[in-house]
Amino acid sequence: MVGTDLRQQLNNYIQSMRDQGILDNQFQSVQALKTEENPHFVLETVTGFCNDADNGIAQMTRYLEGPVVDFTNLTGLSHFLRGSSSSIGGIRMALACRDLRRASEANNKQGCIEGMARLKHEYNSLKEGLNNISQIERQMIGNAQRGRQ
Amino acid sequence: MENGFSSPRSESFPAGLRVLVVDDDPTWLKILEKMLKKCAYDVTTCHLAREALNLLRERKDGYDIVISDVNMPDMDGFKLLEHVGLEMDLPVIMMSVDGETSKVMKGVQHGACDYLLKPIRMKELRNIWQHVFRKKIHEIRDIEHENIDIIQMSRNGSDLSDDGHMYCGEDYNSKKRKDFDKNDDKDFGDHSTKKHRVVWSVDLHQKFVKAVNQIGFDKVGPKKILDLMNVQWLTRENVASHLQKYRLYLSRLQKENDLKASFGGIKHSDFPPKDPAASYGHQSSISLNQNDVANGYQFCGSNFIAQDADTKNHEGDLKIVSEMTEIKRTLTADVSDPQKARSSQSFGHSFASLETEASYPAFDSTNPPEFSWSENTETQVKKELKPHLQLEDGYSQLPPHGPQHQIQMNQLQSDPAVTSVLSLTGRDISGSIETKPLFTEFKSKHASHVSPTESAIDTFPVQTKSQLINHQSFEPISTVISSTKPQGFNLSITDLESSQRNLTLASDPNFAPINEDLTVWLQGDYYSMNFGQSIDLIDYDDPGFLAEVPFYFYDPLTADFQCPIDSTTECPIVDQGLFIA
Repeated sequence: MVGTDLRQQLNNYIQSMRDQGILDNQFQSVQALKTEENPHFVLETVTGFCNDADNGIAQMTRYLEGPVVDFTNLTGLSHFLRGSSSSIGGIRMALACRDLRRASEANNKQGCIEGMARLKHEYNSLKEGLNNISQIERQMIGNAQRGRQ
Repeated sequence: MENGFSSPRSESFPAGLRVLVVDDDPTWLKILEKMLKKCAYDVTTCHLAREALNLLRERKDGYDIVISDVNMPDMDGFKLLEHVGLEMDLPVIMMSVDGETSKVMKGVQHGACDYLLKPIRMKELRNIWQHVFRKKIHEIRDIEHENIDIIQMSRNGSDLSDDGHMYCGEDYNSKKRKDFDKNDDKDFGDHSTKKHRVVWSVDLHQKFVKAVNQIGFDKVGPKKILDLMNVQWLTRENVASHLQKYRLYLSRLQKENDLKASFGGIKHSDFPPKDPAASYGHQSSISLNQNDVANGYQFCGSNFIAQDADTKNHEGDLKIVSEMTEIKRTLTADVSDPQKARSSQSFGHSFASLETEASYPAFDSTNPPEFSWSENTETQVKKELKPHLQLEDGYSQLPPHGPQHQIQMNQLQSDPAVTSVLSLTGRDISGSIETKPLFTEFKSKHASHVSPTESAIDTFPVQTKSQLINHQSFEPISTVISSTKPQGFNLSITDLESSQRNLTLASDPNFAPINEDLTVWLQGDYYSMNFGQSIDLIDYDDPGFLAEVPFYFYDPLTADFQCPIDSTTECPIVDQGLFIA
């Protein structure tokens, strides 16, 4: 049955992300919050997170690339993203944020540049994974809705 | 433990526990809201600390517990914590992705009843009701102790010179007050006001501090304070417990200063940003610390006034205007931080444009006791600073008109009466808009399903205690709040914004150094110290009142109040059956 296949596909995919360490248990906790009244919960959360992260990373890049590095804001923003990424289980990204924050707190420009690069890398993996998950989710929701009709 | 907690809702406790969640991260807010609703709690969400404070002040008995992130753009979470503890006396849980011991310690120091690490698990949230319950128990116990004291004393008919607690003749008066209090009451029937707790509003607290300072901190006693305050409905017990908290607060400050000295863990990069528009709350709290340490200021108020020229607008709210301006200039001379010096420029200006309240406590020429109990010999507090001590948190009655930025300042600590007005204009909440316009975008996107209207905050419907899972009615509420993100407000208040962030307890600038014997307060069980002694809420004269006590407290003798719910299950209503009184 399509529904089961999709679900299985989703689970497998999530598991592979977990195996790679990109996601941790938290993602499942978020999934568990999905309800019948709000089947889009995971999608919304993921979308919201990605928006925040996109903007946040762009902003941090600006802070880092300015004529004078704005360490203060960089510190704050990296902390913020650490929290955000941990909310959906993006553990590797969260760790990258943590490290970036440390470099920023130490006013270590080189460290920040490296940290930023790593953060972007982790975010890209995470984002890709989340997009794929979202796709499956959408399909599942679509199917479920059609099934009801 | 006595019985009589009965009430219609007690069987379902902790369902319907009214939780206020404050977090600047919209993703977390969304997730936490869902999780808490799953626990059958009654959830309100908030993006900003100031919003949270407004909400709390608007609906004094509207919440049972507050959960807040440590790092927020507009105000340090620890500061919010202190405010809530002092004004509303609610249990506050801190949360953060950062579990560094120093931070956790700081949370505890500031009065947090718990510190959760993100990501937060369901089981942790399911247990939060225990903090609420524990606090209530302690309050009841304290009241009982008070009761016993009173009874004994009236029997003996003698003076009790314990903190000047009770005198024979006045005993009758205080009893009268209690009766008055009892009769004139809050609404027992309505579950939404079941708490009967005294909310220490700005005004009230100001009167309190004024009285304390007038009497002299070392001679102070609840009775004397109460008499001086001249507030009809307030009881000696209300004052006594508030006094205890006040002392604790002061002693905590003291400890904090000591700890800071020994800690050395504060990073300099966290100190006041050169860029005043930087908007991370944690920095402001650390900047406070730095200032304390740097100058050895013991006077909280003077600290902030001196150190945080940034707080000028906050101070603008203060009722003492002209003198402040002067003092400010004096003080800022001491401050080496160029940023502060710069912002002191506009300080006087902003003051000038503010209206002042009539009640300017005229303590400036007096109160040597205040200084005598200063334990800090190196304090550079000058006499002119005294008026600051009388200042309340910048709670102001400033008229709603006026420069926008000032309104914004006011909003931080505005009297609930003006909150609704301020909230309209004050939605340009954080100068974080300037530095992080992106965040407001995120947030407004997230709230896409609710239209952020001007009147959103004002028309915030009273959260009913209607049971458990009225998610539907809550969705709009919480999203209304979360959606009232300023839409690209262009504030020219970058300094102001940072000053807000620098507000610390010096929002209670009149908290003076504590007495030696107050260290006794610091010992003992933290919970009971901080939370177990507020007995404001209840008129303990009539044992029958217990029946009307907050709905969700029930007789522990008959109820099983363990939290047996397996964290992997839903938090179904069914489980509530275990809590039947």
